[in-house]
Amino acid sequence: MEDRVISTLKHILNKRYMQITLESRLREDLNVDSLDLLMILGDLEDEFATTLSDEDFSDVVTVNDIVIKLRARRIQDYRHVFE
Amino acid sequence: MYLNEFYNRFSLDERLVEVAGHNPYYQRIDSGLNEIILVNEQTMIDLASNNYLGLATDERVKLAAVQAVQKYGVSLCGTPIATGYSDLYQRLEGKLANFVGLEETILLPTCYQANNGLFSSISGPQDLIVVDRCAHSSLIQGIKAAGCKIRPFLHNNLEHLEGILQRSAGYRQVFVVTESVFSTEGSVAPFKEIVQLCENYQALPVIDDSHGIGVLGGSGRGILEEQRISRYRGIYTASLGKAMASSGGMISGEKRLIDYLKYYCPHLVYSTALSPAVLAGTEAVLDIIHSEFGALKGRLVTYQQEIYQSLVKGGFTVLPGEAPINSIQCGSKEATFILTKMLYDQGILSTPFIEPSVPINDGRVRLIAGANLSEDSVAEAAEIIQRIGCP
Repeated sequence: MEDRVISTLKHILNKRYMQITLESRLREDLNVDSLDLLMILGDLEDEFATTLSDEDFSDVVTVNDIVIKLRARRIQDYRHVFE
Repeated sequence: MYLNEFYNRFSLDERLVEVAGHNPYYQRIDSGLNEIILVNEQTMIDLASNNYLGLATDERVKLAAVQAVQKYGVSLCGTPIATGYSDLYQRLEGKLANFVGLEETILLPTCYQANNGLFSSISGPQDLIVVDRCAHSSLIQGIKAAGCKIRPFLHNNLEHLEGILQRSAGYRQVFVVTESVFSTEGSVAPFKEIVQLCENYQALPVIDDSHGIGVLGGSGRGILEEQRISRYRGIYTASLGKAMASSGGMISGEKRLIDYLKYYCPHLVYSTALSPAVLAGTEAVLDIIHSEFGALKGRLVTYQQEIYQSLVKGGFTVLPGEAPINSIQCGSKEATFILTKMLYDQGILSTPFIEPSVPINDGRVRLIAGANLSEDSVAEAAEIIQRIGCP
């Protein structure tokens, strides 16, 4: 799941920030603003075939916080099963 | 004291102004947008206003406005649904609809109100709005106020847009919202392709042509003319305060929609109508565009190129825009303000953009050389820019 979240961020942020890690802070390190966050959540919805509310993600600080929120919503990453 | 606590919430962060030694906002203009303008009583070259065609102080436009004041006074003191709907108002609606090639038009006090009022009138929680990531604040705020699902797409990125549209089933209506000219970038939307995507996925296109009307197209009719989009069945909005050299905003589209908005768009129904001087001035601008657009556009493009060349020679990073706008990439907001100050100190008024108008640390300084400037003023501005050089 972590790789898929980071991959989504790289796509949205136009690969400006190649060093995206779980510890990267969205605003301070990656310059993510509210519209970027909406785009990220939208693409994560597509990636994990789920529905996400931006209000639920308004307090995320790091990339890992997004992963934790997704896991808390019982979103599973089954992709490895088929690889 | 509870009042002190309340008012203490509203302090401004002045650190940026202290770093730059300059506040570029709310500079006092002491003249009209003439060849040389007065800013804080200092003479300056105007590369900041949106007076693309230079018609804001055209004698014919001023005369039309004065004559309207003499006939109607300064206001009809009512909303369009009440006493504000003058013959001037009705005639301008018709002329603007004809100008952009759509069935009907309504006029609002500003395009900000037009964009805000539009979405709150036509969309709701059952709908999805897919919007360009760089769309103007008026569109974003209007969309947010409608309470619908919002999906921004990467700027002018058709692939990303189509990916979103492919996975957008289940909504009552999907809208795709963009601008013709992105004024902080100078980029132009691939709107013909966007309209095609909308047809493929049964979405409704909405275009804000504020920086395109009076600028794009062979006769200045805007984005639809520029990209040869015929039989457009989407929604069109535009500001009348840029190339149209006046004020107000317009919404155009099919008659059924416009008739509905006339009664159900609160931003129109409850706002005092545009004043007679504004309506008559805009009509005069339209007449001038009809007869002189080619010459005006020619000067606009020539001046834009001259400023562009000076920026390149000065070592600035300039975005390769297709519109008559030069947008300098500055990075941080501090660097953006400092460049604005350097230009200001040398007699050039420019427009800085920092977050949230642009992405964080992606500041811009925008330069627009209107068609009313003389060749000497533009040459002087170009010389100054080159001399300053990229800091």
